[in-house]
Amino acid sequence: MGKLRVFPQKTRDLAWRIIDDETILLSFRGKRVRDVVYTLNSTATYIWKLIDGKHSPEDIAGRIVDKYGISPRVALAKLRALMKDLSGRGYIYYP
Amino acid sequence: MTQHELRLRLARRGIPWTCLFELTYRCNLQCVHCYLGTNNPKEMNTDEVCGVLDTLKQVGCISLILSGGEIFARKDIVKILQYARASHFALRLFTNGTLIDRAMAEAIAQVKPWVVEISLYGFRDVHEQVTRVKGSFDDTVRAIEILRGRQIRVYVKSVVMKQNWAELPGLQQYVQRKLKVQWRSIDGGLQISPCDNGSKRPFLFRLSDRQLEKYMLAALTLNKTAKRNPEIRAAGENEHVCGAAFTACNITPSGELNPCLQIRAKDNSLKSKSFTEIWQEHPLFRQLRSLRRGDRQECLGCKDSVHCFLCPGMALIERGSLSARSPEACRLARGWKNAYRLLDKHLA
Repeated sequence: MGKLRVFPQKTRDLAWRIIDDETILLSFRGKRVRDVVYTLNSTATYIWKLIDGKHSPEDIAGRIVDKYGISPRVALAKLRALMKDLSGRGYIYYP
Repeated sequence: MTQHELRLRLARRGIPWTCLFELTYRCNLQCVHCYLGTNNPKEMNTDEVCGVLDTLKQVGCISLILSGGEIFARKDIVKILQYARASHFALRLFTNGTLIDRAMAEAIAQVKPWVVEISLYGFRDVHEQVTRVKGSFDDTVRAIEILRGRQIRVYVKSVVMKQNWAELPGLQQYVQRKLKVQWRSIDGGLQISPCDNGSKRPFLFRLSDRQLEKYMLAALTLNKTAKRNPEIRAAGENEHVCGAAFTACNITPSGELNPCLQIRAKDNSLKSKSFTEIWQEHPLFRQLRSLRRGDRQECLGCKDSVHCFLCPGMALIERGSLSARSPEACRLARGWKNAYRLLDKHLA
């Protein structure tokens, strides 16, 4: 699984709140403050809570399987897509 | 979603987007225009401040402005900053910068603030005329350089006064070109407030009409983004007048919750009432939330309204009513209108 073997963590230069199962993310990295606010839906919020440097992607995928009753293969694929997106935006990193 | 859209979305759910938390009224400078009176209330201790941060986090507030007095006059400031970071706030620090040395800059860098906003009132002589502390200009400039060297975003801002208006355009260029940090638009800095204790002494430093016009024209000429006379907007009478008690709130060093810096409530201590109780039920908060542009009967149909910075707090101070016409707001709006007219003529 390559990169996903390490335990992902949230970046520190990020402000966030979970409000009613939705996560609001504000990034203030770089020279210019971006005016865009990123939001995560309830499933992504569930994953966001587990991105804490203590859970591996396999752990998180296992939790998704238990909670949403989907196959491990689908869970991992969805997780990979989300993590790629979050990582690309600089919201998480792999220490 | 933009930040503006987020503010409105949170406000509709009864959540303040931002809180301006005054951590202390103590300050090592003695600025002539300062709105804080001589009264220094008993400050909350570290645990109490962290308790307030917990509350703000719990209600969903995401943007936190730490202000003073001078926040770095608090011995526990690093602990507070670290706690705020661990609570995932977008942190803005308001400071005069003079107490920031390399070690403090390192501590600030660790908590990754959104921005550090530093006040500069002019070049050395004028700045120190305002702050009434010798050496404060060099200390502030050194702090800006240290912070910039640590890759911390710094905005420099000012207040437009009789003492400094003529050199502010030059100061802006110095800040942008030499110090290489951002100059924060100071439209809001044109509004000089009275002291909290009711003293109107700071009004002595307001610009005359002629000075206002000259300053505004110079500012418009310098700032390329402003080189267009704003379009007259459709009525918008159902719009909120301002963000106080809607998207924003203020907390004092002793733990009182207010709608904003200008509008101080009573019976509002977070030690005796919950945040939600005051935010949702306090009559002043409710009144402000229900206030719409159209409620300002005296302002209906005003042709200068597009240039007007409506501030219910200033109206309250000047006329005793949140929905009254504010003579100072009218004066500033007229100043902008005339400055735009002159600029248009100049550009044509």
